[in-house]
Amino acid sequence: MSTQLFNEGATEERAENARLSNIIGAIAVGDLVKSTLGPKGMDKILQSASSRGGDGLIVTNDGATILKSIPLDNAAAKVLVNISKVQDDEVGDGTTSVCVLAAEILRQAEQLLDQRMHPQTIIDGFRLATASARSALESSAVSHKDDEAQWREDLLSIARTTLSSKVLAADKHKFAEVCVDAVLRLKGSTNLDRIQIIKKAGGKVSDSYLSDGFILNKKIGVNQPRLIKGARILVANTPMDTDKVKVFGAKIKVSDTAQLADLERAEREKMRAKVQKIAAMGINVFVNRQLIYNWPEQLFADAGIMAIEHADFDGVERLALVTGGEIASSFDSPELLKLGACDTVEEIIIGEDRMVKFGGAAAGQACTVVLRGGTGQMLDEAERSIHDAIAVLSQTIAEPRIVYGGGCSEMLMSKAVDDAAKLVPGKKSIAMEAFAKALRQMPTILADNAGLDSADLVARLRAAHYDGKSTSGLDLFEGDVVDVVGKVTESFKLKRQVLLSASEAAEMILRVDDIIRCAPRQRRN
Amino acid sequence: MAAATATASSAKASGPSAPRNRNDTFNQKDKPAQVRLSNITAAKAVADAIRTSLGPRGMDKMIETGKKEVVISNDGATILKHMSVLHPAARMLVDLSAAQDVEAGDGTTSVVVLAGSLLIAAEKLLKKGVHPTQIAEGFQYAAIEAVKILEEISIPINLDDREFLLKSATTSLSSKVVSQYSSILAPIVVDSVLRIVNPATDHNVDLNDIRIVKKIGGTIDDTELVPGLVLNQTAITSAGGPTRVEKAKIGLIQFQLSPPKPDMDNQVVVNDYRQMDRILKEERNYLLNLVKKIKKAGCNVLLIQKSILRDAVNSLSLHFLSKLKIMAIKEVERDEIEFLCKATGCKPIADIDSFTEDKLGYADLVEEAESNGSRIVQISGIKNAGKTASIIMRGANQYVLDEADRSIHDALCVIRCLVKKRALVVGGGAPEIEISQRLSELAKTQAGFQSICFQAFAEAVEVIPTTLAENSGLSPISIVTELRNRHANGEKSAGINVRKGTISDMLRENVVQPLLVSTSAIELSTETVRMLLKIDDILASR
Repeated sequence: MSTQLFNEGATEERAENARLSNIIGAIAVGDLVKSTLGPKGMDKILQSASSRGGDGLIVTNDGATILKSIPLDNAAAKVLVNISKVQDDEVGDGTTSVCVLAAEILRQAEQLLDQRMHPQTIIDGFRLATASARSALESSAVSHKDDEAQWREDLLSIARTTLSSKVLAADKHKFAEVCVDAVLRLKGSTNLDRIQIIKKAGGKVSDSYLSDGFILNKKIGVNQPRLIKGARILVANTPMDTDKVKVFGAKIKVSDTAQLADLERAEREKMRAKVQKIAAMGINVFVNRQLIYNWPEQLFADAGIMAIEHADFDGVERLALVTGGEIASSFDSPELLKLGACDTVEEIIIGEDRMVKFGGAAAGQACTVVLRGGTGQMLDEAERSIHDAIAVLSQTIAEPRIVYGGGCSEMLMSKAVDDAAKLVPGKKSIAMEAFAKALRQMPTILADNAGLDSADLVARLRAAHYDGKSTSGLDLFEGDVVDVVGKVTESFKLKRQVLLSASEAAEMILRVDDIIRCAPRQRRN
Repeated sequence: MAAATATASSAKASGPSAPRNRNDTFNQKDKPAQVRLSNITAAKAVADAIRTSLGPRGMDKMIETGKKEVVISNDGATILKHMSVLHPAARMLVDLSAAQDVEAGDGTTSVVVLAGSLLIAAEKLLKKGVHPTQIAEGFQYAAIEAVKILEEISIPINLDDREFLLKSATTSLSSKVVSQYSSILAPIVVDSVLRIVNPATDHNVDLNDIRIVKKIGGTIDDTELVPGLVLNQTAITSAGGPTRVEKAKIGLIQFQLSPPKPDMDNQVVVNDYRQMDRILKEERNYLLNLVKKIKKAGCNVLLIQKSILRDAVNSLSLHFLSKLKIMAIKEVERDEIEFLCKATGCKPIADIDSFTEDKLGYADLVEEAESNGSRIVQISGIKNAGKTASIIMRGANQYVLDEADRSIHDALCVIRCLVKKRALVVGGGAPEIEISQRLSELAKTQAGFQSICFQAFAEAVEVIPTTLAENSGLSPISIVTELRNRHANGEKSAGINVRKGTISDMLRENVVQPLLVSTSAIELSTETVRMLLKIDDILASR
């Protein structure tokens, strides 16, 4: 006999049921993205239900992109989507790993729950395990920041590791150079706005290149210089058609056509005065967010100023950032305006399109990655890959420690957790062993995706680690256990974040013993 | 809630490998192998659809678009663009063809046919149990080797060598509707590109500098490369203005010859009838003044930019213009301005006060000529002309004209490829056979999966000569085997002579194509096939 507690339509799931539905949901999400993990992981096509056009189609290997796009109806699954998003924001890569690890931890926890172990005990065990895994990871991390050649090699290696699981794997050496060069130009800043990525269909992926300076996808006005050296740039957002009097209903009443002609003349003079004011600032490049009409365009041409119209919001803001100028909208007090500067402004051709390149910008940090590729999906995926690599690299520059990949760190942590478990009395130690097992699942999945004999490889990897070869990892191209120093390098911050986020999420999901779902709001008609 | 419990119980009961068909989150999910198979099938269907249009004896397709327009084409990129393809994998092949169009401009059919053939090869390998990533990798190395082979057998050329350029343009045109006119069109194409490039310094051609004006009437024979410039627009003759001006001074204006209209709202208040007279008189004076100023600067041909806000000209100003013997042409689009400036050497003038002589362009003759039932304005004998070229294209109807335009565009792209990368390979399936044979050789030196993939790639490439033979009504088996035989005996340029239905030396038959078209076809198709192979799931996103 039950009393109605909730509104009609609301539902509740309790204890076992709630826990089970959560764990199943999380594991399902983990299984979904699992196959994209590692250098031999597969891609997924995401097809949008709403738009059947060409833009609704995504081909991707990026966990965050996959999870972001699919509609889910399970609370725990949504938690995993969320941690993958956070991972994307924080580090930029490892979005799949974090999801898969959390799911694997929960898979282990499910078995413990079946053995009637209390969730809180499991959580306690997991916490101890996380702590010892973390300290093992920290003690294995090394930094080569003082040795410049080695440091660059490390960065390249990290970039290669990140890229090798993406669509750019075939050209990873080239793109690793591109990403490292781009990030080193930032000089420690993590503001990735300064690295611009331009996608142009056509050509092949290996035709992509890193261009110093900023490329604006706009045209230079008619009859204006095509190349300017020692450019002084004014970036503006101002109407260059006519300065209208914007009072509602403002209207002119005249009695004859001559007056009308005078008015027209006055409008033109006003524009001429504006152009003169701008020209008087001693600039030779003028970039406007809004249109520049024919008349001011001609005036600029006469003054020998390169005028670029209709640069969009994004373009104008980035341009102001890289040239060190400010976006101006009034020109009455030129002394207050900060002009941008760069060495050369020139017209270039990429593919079939003409663009404007700002080379040698004052800020010196700007650069552009020009991506070429066969299909739009290829370009989009390449952009995501480059973005991931650049994000990881910029984080690595801030936190220079590195660890080794290819399942090496996971096995190392698993060993540390196993060792620690032996010293812990009580049921907690079982939970710790389960955690260690979950960690070992990562190399297993890597090997599975590559079509290798995972059971054999992981057992050999574990043996190698217990044999004291703590830098052993999997070489998925050869299908063997090797020393991964200098081969597969990953950012320490990335690995730590994966470990912490995954265990935190798993813990959070385990703690839940009741799911209450509110009735969806009734829509009228 | 029921859904979630159901999810839980079903998944628990079945484990990760059993179907989760009751879970509404994932019910649109397919098994990786099925997904791969469906992708390959869809992509193959696309390739099969346009396969018959490959080569000089290829057939055309007629497509009725959603707007009930009819398109008849032989150009792979055009056909695919108009096919409304739904399957995601098939759409990737459409994109592939578009990419080849951007990069090389020609070979848009071959690239898709090649991709289809590679997918068939991959399918066979998958059935043998080779892991898709291994196939993807193997194909990539094979493609790199194939490109190396192509570069090795290519013939470097010099842009001064007009003969070779003509031959490549002819090869491209011979597979189109306009093939019987290739002897007329090829020189036009070559000359127009040579006119706008500087062979010593340029490594790219901006095809925007070549204008193609299409006019219905006459036949394709009448297509010509015009010395000077041709306009889309015609002269305004309603007020009896001149249609032929010798020693023309051309002005390009961006203001209007109509009563003044400030940007602010305005109202002319008329209080009595005398004022009405005055307004009319003033309007007359205003326009006369403008036209006089134009005449004073010496201008006798006036091009007027289109304006959305007010009339470019009115009948009064036209009257003045014709009185002063100034030829007027209106409706010039804003994005044409740059081309016109470059072609005529004039500068755009946005205000009457800056209408000065130094902004004008000079030409010996501007004439509106009538031929084959349509009027065309031609500007010839331009001084200070920039590097531009104009082609007048003629054809019996719109479809022929459109298809001829696409064919000429392809041929222009072929010449552009030669400017970018100055080397040729022979056509007629010869390079493909050569690649196939050398790759099979290489396959024997490779180990493991790589070897199988090389062999499969080598066989897949033979689809081009096979299809060529099929489309020409020859026996593909006897032709291809004989080709293999000839190549094995060292006749590297032996290819299919489609016209004679035999095998002959393609170099002697003048069937040549740019290296870039072939390399880009192999690289792009391999790239797309690799991407398709790496996909193991199709998910519905929101």
